Amino acid sequence: MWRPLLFGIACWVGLSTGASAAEFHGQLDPVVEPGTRVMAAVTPASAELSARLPTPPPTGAILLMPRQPVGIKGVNYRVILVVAPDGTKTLWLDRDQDGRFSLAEAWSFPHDGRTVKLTVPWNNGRYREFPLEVEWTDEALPRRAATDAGPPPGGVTALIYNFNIVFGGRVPVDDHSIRLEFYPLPAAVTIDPAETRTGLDANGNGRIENELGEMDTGRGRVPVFRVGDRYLAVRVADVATGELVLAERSAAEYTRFAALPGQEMPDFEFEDFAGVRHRLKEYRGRFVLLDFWGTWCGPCIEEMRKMDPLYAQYHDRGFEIIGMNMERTAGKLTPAEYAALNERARTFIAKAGHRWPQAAQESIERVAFDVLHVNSYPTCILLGPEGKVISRDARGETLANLLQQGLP
Amino acid sequence: MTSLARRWLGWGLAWSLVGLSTQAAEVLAIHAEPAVIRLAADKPTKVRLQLDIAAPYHVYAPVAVLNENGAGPMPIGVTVRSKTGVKLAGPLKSSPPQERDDPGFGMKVYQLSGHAWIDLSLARPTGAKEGETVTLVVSYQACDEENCLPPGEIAVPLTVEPEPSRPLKL
Repeated sequence: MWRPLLFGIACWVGLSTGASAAEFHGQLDPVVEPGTRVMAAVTPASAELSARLPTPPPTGAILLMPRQPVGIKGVNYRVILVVAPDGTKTLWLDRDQDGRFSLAEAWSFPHDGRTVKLTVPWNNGRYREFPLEVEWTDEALPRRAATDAGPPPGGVTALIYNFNIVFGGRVPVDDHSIRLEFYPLPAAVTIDPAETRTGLDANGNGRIENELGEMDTGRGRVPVFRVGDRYLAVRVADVATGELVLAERSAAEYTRFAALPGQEMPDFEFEDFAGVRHRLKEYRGRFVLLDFWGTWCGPCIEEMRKMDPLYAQYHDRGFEIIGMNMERTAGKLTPAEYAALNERARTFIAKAGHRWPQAAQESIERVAFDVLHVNSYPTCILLGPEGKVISRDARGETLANLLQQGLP
Repeated sequence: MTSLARRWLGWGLAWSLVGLSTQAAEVLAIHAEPAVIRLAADKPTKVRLQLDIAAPYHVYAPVAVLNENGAGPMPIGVTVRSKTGVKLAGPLKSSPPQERDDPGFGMKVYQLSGHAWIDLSLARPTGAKEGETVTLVVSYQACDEENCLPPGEIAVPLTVEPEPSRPLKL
């Protein structure tokens, strides 16, 4: 009995969402760009490692190595930095992993620079090379300062290198060539459109700007971007073939709100810790700060402490804060877990003495994840009396100044 | 200015060299050493997780600390997903953390940055004979001086081979 009904619904959904939606075909770039970097403290190289050099280092040279392996996508590379008596620095990296350094595995740092660029083999679809940028630094490191007050050997404290890459690509859409970037997780070698953070230069200005909604992580759903009047999502991003396909989606699938100044914040419902429901629009006519925070976030707690005197000064003049509590952001939670997290946050608020209303996590997850895409804490969005965004970064002095201007 | 504050100012300058836009799970690379272990039923085996923590972020060492209001950072943690009963045997140990007076929490916190490691011991119940690929789920929270990224999880695969059965002594 259900089958005809389900078939009818499926047909209706197919028609209404445009089952034959337009697709746009492009290509991933033939090379990848260096991505996220890490700083690796150095220590005098072991005799065992130094013996793997093809020729003895210059007399008086200092040999250094990272304290831990240089790991690139699961492969560990042997590395030595040789600092000659005249300060010249040479990086040796066992690129072919044959257990020794050959003369072809040395890169000299320029006299007027601190970075060398090289590649290591990477057998990943169309990509055969992983670009590696290695920089040396003489900045003080806390661990070193705690254990050794003397000058660092060779004047070098650490090597900084990228352990990840960025996939780029372009897709022609209408008269434009749209730039995309994919930021895989450190262990990942492929692109999963539903999980890999994706950037799309929607306004075509040559930059991918997170604050304009041009960067998104799907969290299990392929993100939808708005490009002019079109709504587009990545359908294929294949590192084996280089195929890159954008597919048109419906406007209804675009849930993101960039919270740019002047935009009207969509209304939403939330529950406080006592289970009482409220709507944002109840606060129209007041300046409202949406403060995304968690008890795990030190900068959030410091920020809330700064809000106390502002709340005392401006609340009666038309200022409200809604604490948007996010205690857990990974994994699916059970009702019992939500209750326990609410209790922890409620206890914290009571002990810390913050007096403004609070929204419980379960009631605002959609707003945090799917609408505002909050990915940094604290996030403090100040709305004006008409519900329009004044600032997405209303913290500290900025908040104080904005309130002073709005509620003199 | 205290020596600790000076030290952190110096560290902050160092971090400023490497300002990159990174988010959530992208800031932490983890791999297990060894990636394949042989696990006897009666003998816990050590695994080291090598961590690369992207600048300018730090994660929190496996030391749970809460302030008087019940707030505190989420220490790095590991849970084991296993079909054959492989489980943690004992607490996590980390490379020496950096101790810092956190102005937000108003207490000392213990941080890991750059290269770091976590040691854990795994055990399996008596009678479990089959090998499997277990998943080590690493939960963590990454922050810099001004902001925190949403706490995340990273799954690290680890192949567990059974210990060959001992020959009977006749």
